[in-house]
Amino acid sequence: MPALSDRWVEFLIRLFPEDFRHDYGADLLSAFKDQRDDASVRSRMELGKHLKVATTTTKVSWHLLKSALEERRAENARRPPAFQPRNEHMIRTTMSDLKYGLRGLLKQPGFTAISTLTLALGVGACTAIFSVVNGILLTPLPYLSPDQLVSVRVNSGIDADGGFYGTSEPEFWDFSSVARSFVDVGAMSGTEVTLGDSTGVRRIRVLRTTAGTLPMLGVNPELGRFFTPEEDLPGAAPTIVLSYGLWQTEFAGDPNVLGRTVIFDVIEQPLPIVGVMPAGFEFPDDTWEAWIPLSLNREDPWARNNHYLDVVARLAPEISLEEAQSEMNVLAARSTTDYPEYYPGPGYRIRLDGFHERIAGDVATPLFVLLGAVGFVVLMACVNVSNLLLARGETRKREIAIRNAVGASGRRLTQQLITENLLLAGVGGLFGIAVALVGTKVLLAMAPSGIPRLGHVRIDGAVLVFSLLVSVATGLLFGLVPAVQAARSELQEILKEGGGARGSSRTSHTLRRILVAIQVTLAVVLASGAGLMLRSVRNMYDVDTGFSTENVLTLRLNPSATKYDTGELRVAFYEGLLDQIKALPGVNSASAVFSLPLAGGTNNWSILVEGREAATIGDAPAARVQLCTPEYFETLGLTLLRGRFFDENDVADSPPVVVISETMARTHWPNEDPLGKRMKVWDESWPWLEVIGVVKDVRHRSVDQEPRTWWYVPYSQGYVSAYYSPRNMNLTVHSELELEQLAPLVRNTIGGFDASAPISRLQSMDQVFARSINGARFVTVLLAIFGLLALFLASVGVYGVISYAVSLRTHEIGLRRALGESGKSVLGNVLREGFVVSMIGVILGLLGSLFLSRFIETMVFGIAPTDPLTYTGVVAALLAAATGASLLPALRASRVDPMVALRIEN
Amino acid sequence: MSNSDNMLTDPRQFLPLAPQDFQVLLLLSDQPLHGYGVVKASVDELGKATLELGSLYRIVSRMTKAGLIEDVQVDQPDSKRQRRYYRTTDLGRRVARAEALRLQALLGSERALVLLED
Repeated sequence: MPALSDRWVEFLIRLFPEDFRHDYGADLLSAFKDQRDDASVRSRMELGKHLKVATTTTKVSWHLLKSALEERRAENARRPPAFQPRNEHMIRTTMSDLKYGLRGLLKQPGFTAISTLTLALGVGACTAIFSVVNGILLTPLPYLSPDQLVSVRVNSGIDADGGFYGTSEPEFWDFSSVARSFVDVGAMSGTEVTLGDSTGVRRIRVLRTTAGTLPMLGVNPELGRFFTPEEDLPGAAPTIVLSYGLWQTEFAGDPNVLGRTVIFDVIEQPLPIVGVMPAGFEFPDDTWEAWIPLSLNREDPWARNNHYLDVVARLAPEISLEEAQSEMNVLAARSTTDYPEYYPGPGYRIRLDGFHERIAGDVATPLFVLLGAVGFVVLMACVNVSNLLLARGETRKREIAIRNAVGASGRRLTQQLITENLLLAGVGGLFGIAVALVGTKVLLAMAPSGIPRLGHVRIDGAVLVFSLLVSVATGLLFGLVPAVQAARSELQEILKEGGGARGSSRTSHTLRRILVAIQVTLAVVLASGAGLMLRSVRNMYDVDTGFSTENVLTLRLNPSATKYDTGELRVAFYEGLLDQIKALPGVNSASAVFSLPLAGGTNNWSILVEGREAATIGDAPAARVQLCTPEYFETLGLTLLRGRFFDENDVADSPPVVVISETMARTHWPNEDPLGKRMKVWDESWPWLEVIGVVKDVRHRSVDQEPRTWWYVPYSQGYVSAYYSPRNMNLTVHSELELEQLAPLVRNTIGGFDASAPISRLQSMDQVFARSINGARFVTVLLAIFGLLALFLASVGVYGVISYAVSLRTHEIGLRRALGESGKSVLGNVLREGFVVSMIGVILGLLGSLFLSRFIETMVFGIAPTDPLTYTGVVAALLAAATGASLLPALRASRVDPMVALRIEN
Repeated sequence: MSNSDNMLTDPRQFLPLAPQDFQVLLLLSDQPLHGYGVVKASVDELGKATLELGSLYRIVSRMTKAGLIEDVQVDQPDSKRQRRYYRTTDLGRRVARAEALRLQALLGSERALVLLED
């Protein structure tokens, strides 16, 4: 804001004569800055500051304009007239046009208020959405040369259509040692550590990174240093680098924080603090609170098929993304040849994306759809104001004609009208910025979690320039038609008409009808977008997820790694704890589960199906594994289709069993009874698991994603039959009790059972579900608001144009009534006019929607983007609104008293 | 205009002063001020804004040319912005004094006293 006001004042100073400017221009600017700073410190709130700056700037602008003009006059008086600079005339005309325009606006407060408000809403909504787009997509990442950073993902060919994912350790070493396109490559993987002593006051989300990753970003620590390559070696004592936020919240910004050891990793090693990153630094996004060494073992890497590392690389100077991609393609082809057992089918593929795109790419489509939608709202606001101006133009025709008659040229008149319109747009824009300041706050408060880079959303210079441009564009746009129309008017006719608004107003009336048709068109497009999204969200609620979210509390538990270092101990821990929780009053069932539906990923493991040979791991199919205690099925209400769930008799030393999903059954045992069939995890050394049951599919990843193949292993057998029984599990508790009552009971039970096990992410399953569709809901709410606004604006437009038509035709209607036409027939005629105008708009709008529907194709769920029902509903709603809007003027017309109407004419 | 010229110039040729010119001369007579400083000082003295930046600099320009005020070097070590400071010259002070005397005589006249008593 200050920068913008400075530039504006600099511009105004240029209006002073050159000599004066040379002597005092810089001084004047610095004095203005003093005054502005002085004004803004008087307000403590951000909004207040902006307003103070805006009012000060406006006041100073006005005085500078006046002084510039006076100074020029004074200078001209001192000089011979031949030296009169050309632009003085222009300044004077503009000033007088502005003054005249201002007076005109003040004289018609109703018109001014409505148009300013309409424009302010349009510009404000647009600016608010743009501020979000700007912050998330356009503001560069806060790193050195962020354009050189790329994300590296792979697909091994096993699940060739399954998209790209993280890399394995050997693959990462390939990039860092072979690739010439990169100057640096870093790998990372998330984890959690404990802050505090062993009672575990707080869990912190930390990112494990290779030692080169943070330095590669080009941002130096605020305090201390990064961890060193030596500290990143396997077996070395690890250290930790804090984010600025964590340093502030947990250490109160203590400058002596370096060297403290109050954070412990999963095996309870202390992590001495060696550095603190500066404010505003986030990597890869602001959900990570600290960074620790990844400690990869280069001599003994994990298997090539274990894809768990996210990789970021910095392109070498002068190397483009395409060049790097072709080098990767060569590398991938070579690896496919070298390790055919890991890269079956189409083989190994590597994909590079700009890092920014990788972080924010998922939200780009919805954001641009919203920006497009809000652009339509601005257009509608323009058309509305245009319409108002046309109506106002009617009453000003005589004034303009007289000015024309006394010598004002058409160009001069157009210039004056455009100046007036820009003034109106400017005022609307100023209010619009106020709307945007509030709107952005509301958007941020409403925004779903998980949107990247929300912290960068703010009203800054770029956003203000954008809203200025939008204001000017709207000013020109809504003013264009009326201005041209006014300047073209035939002088003779208007003066002859004698102040009336009939006869030659026909052209302007046609124009207004066209404008209203355009409005209806835009409204149809907006409303159908909103309608499609509303139905999609409804479908998301209606979709059968395969489980029930009702009355379920969940939390994540992280028992000590040293205390529970074997499968037996972990199984005993969870069994003992669950027994106590189940004994709580009001609890129906309780279970532990590895991966909570709609709240996270899981492992996609290679499996062997009995009777189907797989020579290499590349030949083996992969499916997603779930480990859970028996009551999980009951707690989340999964549906059993065949066989049985596991029970308390399925323990470590009983025969290993597995329950599979229906998609898994269809995929691996098509047209067969899967019960009694056998499978095992990759490599022959593991025991066979017998399929004992089939459950209905669960939509695990998201509500709108088709179910995948899943297999469920009893937690008690995990370490015997499926590699391991994980230490960190999610508890799910089914109870009729309210969350507020249940949560402390469960917390106390856990605390009493083992106080050292930290609890995190305590929430109801309903909350988990709501959060998972928050993004779609957010977009839908905004589109619905825009759609309603559009419907309203279109109705106002139709109402305006039809009432005007009726007023134009009062005489004619009176005559018809006198000649015997019934009121009913008049009513029908007027309604038909409204209907015809809206129908034209509706048809154009439908065509437009169909054309634009492909942009929201990826966002709709459960319906086609060309869903006929939605479009029918939208058309019906619009026609109803339009007919409703023309009903009032039509009724007025049908009640015209012929005598009165005919008298008016004389 | 040099200082020796100043000594010889008859201050009365500038009279009567425009009220704002007089105010600026007075404000700059006892301490040097920068542009916004003058505006603020005028507010402090009179309780309301009587000078605007645009017109202030027009006055400064005019009176500098006439030799009534001049700019001075002032050390501003703590300031992020370098500002130009102005102060009243000897001639300016004499002109202000002459104007003050003129006003005093005017205000001391019988009619003015009657007016002020009402």
